[in-house]
Amino acid sequence: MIGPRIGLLVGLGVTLGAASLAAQASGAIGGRVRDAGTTQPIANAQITVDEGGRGAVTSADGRFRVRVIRSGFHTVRVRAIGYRPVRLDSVLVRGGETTTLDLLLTAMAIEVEELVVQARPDPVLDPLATSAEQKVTAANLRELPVTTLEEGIALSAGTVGESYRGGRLGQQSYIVDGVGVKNQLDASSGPLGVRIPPDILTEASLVTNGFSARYGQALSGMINVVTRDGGERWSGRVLYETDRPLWQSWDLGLDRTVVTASGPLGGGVRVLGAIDISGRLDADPVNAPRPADPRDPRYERPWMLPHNSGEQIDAVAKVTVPVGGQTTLRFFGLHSEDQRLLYDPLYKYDVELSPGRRTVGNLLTGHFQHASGASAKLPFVVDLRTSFYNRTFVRGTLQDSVDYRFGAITGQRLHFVGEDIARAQDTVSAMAPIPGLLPPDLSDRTPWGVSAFFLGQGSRGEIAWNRFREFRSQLDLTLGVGATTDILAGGELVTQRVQTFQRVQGYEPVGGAVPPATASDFSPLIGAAYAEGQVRVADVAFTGGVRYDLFDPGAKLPGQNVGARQRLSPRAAVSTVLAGATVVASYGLFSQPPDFQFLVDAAFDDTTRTGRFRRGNPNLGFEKATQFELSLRARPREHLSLRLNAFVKRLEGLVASVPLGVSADSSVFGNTDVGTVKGGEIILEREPYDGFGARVTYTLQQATATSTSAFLLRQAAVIDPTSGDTVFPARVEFPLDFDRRHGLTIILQGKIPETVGPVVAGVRPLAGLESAVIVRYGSGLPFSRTNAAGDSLVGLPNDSRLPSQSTIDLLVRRSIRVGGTQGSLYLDMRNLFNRRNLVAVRRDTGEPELDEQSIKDLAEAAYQEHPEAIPYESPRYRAQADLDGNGLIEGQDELLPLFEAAARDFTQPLFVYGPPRLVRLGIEIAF
Amino acid sequence: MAAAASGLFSRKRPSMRRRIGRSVRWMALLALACTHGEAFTPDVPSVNQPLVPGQPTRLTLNPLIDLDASWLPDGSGILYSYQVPGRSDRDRCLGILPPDGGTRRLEICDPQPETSDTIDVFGPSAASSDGQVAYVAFRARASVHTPQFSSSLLLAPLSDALAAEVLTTTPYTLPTGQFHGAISHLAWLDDSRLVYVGQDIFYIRMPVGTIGTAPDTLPTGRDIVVVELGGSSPQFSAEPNTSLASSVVPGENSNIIYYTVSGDAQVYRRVLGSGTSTVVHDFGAGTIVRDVSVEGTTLVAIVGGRVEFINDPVLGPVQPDEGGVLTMVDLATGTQTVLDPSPVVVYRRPALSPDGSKLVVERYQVLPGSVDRRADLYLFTLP
Repeated sequence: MIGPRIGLLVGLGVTLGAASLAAQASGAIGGRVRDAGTTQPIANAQITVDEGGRGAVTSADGRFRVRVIRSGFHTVRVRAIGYRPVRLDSVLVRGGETTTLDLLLTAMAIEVEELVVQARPDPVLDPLATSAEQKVTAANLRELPVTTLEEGIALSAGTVGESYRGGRLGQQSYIVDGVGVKNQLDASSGPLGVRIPPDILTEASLVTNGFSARYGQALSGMINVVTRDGGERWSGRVLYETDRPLWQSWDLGLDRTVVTASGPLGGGVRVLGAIDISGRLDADPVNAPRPADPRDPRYERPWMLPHNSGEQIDAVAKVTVPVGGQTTLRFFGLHSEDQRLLYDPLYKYDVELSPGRRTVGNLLTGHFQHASGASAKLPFVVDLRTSFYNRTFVRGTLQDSVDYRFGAITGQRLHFVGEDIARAQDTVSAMAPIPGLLPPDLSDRTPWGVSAFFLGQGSRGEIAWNRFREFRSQLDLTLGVGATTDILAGGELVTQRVQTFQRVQGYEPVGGAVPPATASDFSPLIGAAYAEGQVRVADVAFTGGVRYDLFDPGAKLPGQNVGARQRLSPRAAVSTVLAGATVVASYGLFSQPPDFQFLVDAAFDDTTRTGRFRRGNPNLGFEKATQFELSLRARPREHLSLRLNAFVKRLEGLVASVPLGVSADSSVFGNTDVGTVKGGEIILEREPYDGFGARVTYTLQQATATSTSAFLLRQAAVIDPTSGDTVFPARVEFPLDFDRRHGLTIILQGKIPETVGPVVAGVRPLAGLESAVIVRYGSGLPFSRTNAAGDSLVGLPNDSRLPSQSTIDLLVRRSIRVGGTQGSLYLDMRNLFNRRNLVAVRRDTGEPELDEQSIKDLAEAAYQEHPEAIPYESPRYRAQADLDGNGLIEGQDELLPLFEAAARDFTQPLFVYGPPRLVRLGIEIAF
Repeated sequence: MAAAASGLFSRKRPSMRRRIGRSVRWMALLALACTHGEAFTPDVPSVNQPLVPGQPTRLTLNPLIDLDASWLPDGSGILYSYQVPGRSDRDRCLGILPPDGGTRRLEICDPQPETSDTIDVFGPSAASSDGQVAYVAFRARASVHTPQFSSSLLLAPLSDALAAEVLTTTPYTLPTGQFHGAISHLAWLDDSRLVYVGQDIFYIRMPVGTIGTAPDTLPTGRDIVVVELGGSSPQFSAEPNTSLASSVVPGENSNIIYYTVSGDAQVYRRVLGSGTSTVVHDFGAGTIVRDVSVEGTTLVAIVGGRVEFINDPVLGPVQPDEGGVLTMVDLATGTQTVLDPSPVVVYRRPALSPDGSKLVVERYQVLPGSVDRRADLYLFTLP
């Protein structure tokens, strides 16, 4: 309860505090201290944060500001001579924002106990938070039907999976506790390799514009992750969730266990550790319809795909070591492994020949932070961070059969045929067939018997391996000049090493149609420096900064040593309060080095458009974006906030494939793509209050470019067939792959009070029940139509649209006590109504499946290739097809129906459908 | 660090470990109480019986060629070579049939068949009791007028027959001077010794010197060869005085063989290394016997039929053979029985099962003036 003479105002219209744009892993506490009786400012009041290591002294006008406070809850004490001290527990500081406190102290002649009050920041109306951020906290991840950090971030406006504001994949960068982490090798097509267990989060936010000059390597978004430090007393959580007790389509073989613990080790040292292990027998389930033919083995069990399991383990530890009052050391280590078996419809009847994949990532960081004392006249914070990040990826044919030990968990690493050659990047040995690989042949294990479509005997023969490593050093200085000006400066140096190897059709020697293995080993360098300032004048804050980026692919790259590429990126924002609403206008230039995979030659298995060989281009430059944004944030009611964002982003120099020479199947990468993204976002939120909360986000956007992806080959020039003239087509822009025009997300949360609900046997079973519902709707994504052969576009790129998608997810949680320990039971259901969402279609038909005539044509063509009779002793013999019972399946009458059934089986759509209803039952115990 | 943490646990929250342990056990029980669902698995249809039972039973209905059948040592299957349907290049693979007929359960084909203008053949083969398989593989260009009959004798585990070791390639000349261009009637004497007939092979028009007929492959037996596999490298030796041997089969122990000789009506029994042979059965003057198989007192062989022995001035002695009469002999009594007297079929390469109760054999249809080159395997159940 706040006393009548001591008040804590929550930021409404207060502009004294200013957010540090730079320190996205941290925020600030600012505000004003005044006399409760006279409302006059109190000078020289002492503000201390937590145990006194950090703080500030109010200026003559009563204003103060404490910079670079880590995200999370803190205790703030305010003391002034002649006033009753105030202690504010649980002051929540969020990354990139200023928690503004307007404190009224009561004059007291004698010293009395401090008054404890609760603080609640108002991020909505913080006028100096110029970045467009949408946050998700650890509590959100627990309370909502989401499991991973990525799923939580995907609730933000403007996201489509891991595409942000219509951008391509890979146009984002991760910031983990202030350290940049990016898979610079193949972010556009590969995972980051490390996953942050949600249990260690303080919060994470998606920043889509206005991010500080301190950050680079991103065009569309920055995912800022702040992990918590170890606690001051031992606590933890054990969680297990599964779908084992369920049946049929509800049981997809899920097991997940999370164990988290944190606490003090003595001497102020605190530790946090977590391990998150999960496995699912079908890690990529699809909501595909049951096949019509009962002979199809999927007919009986249509819900789970074989050889499609996945297992993940994420282990993390963090140690926080205070060194004196102003200096802190933090050490963070994260190890992630992800193993997947990849179901390949070509190998439906010989699934063990389908490929597998393993990704291993490590992130080690060290953070030295020194802050000036509470009474410093020129407060500053110095952050020195170093990090080592590596990611190793391998995909290929499994060497051994998979031995599951618990559900989908093998507990051991998968091994791949030819992995040793790939790791050694031995392109000489790889000229010969790779031992252990056999050429594929048409499978004889199908219900149809005939030699058509499905493969067996040998795999596709691919082995792909790559490793990306970087060592990053980062120095940041935050300098406060009075309570109204912040100056940020710093830089980073990143040394990297890229190693790649790829061999396709490894069952045959190199030569003829079999391309040589590709390998690369080079050491790029990325560097940056920045300076930024923020000045507050009355209700207006100005932010300006400039960032200098360079990247050098390194002299060892095949081809030429092209030297370093450089770029200056100015960024500016102005923010103020107008009619009770915060208005922010921002402008920024952003740049990122291209994926390094585009710098090197590659043999690709995706051969439908550009052949098996793609020429790398060491001379690629930065990909660039220029973005303008106008934001408005308002609070129409006490618990209701509204955010409106309007933005225009111009993309330039994006990597695209352009023809190389006259071969239609050869191309080279170039910085040739340009595009435009424009749109608006509405975020309406009723904060949880009185047992109910809601959040509605709507996005309207248009994202276009001249090339829809880096791999789509477009003819930059064509020869007019009539005149013979060279024609340069206009640079028409087409929808980008993630151009979702309308996106709507509704989140509803509710909790039944403990005293409500019917009483059964002396207890209220519904009391305390929490539930959350997420409703998602998205208009259809674009796709390109092709001819039946799939080798030529029909019409313009991405001029067709998929149907809209929608899902409803539900989480119901009930607190329990187990042996005196607090915990909960929960039921998490995704896609509650099992809606069959189309996430892709056949490009030739625009539908999920082939039409009947095309199936017949496909069958006829296959029959013409293999019209031979099938004798009784052959494994291909199917008695029901031997109409005359003579021991031979022969002739069109007996063979063609089998070919048609095989064609229908082969073309049945699977991965064009999104996931089905997914259910998990969980129990968590806190200790 | 762990000790400090442990101490902290026990001091401040004495019951925490117990609570955690109880929770974990509870969850483990929950997990173990249920099993996961399973994905679909292909149900590959197969049968272990012939299409139509009978005497004889037709085992294969391949419209092409099935030949060189031999029994697995335990009688659980029939190893044979079959021409692959749907390939114009006449490739042949090895397969194993159930002992009474049915679906072929193992197929061993050249993993690198290359292009369709080569013939990639896995031919005569034999499985040992310790799980090895010896087989002959050869590749020839189909389009040339005179094929190059280069083949390899391979040894591999039956479970991974493509991971083979090359024992020898043909043509070769043994240290004792015998020249062989091909290998036939391959069999195991024991787990470390093979025996086969080293052949000469020609690609000529028949009769020799005629014009207008299609050229064909003419193999003729030259010597019986024993291969010792026990050492660091295989040792090949021609059995003395087995010149013009046309077939060979192991006898009742690993030192005994039965064999036939081109142009001859007698079946010989021989103790290896002794240099002497005894006649175990004589089919009578003017008759040519070959393709002998013996188990216990049962002997089967191909007698007479479409065969002739020619002492050609250019090629030397050759024995063109298109098949003959399948004949069984009871060695105890000398009783001779024709198993199929039909004049419209001829047989080749009979192989008695290890217990002597069954017989698998190639059968060819006799056409007016010739014999159909396509063959199927038939199974006889012996009295």
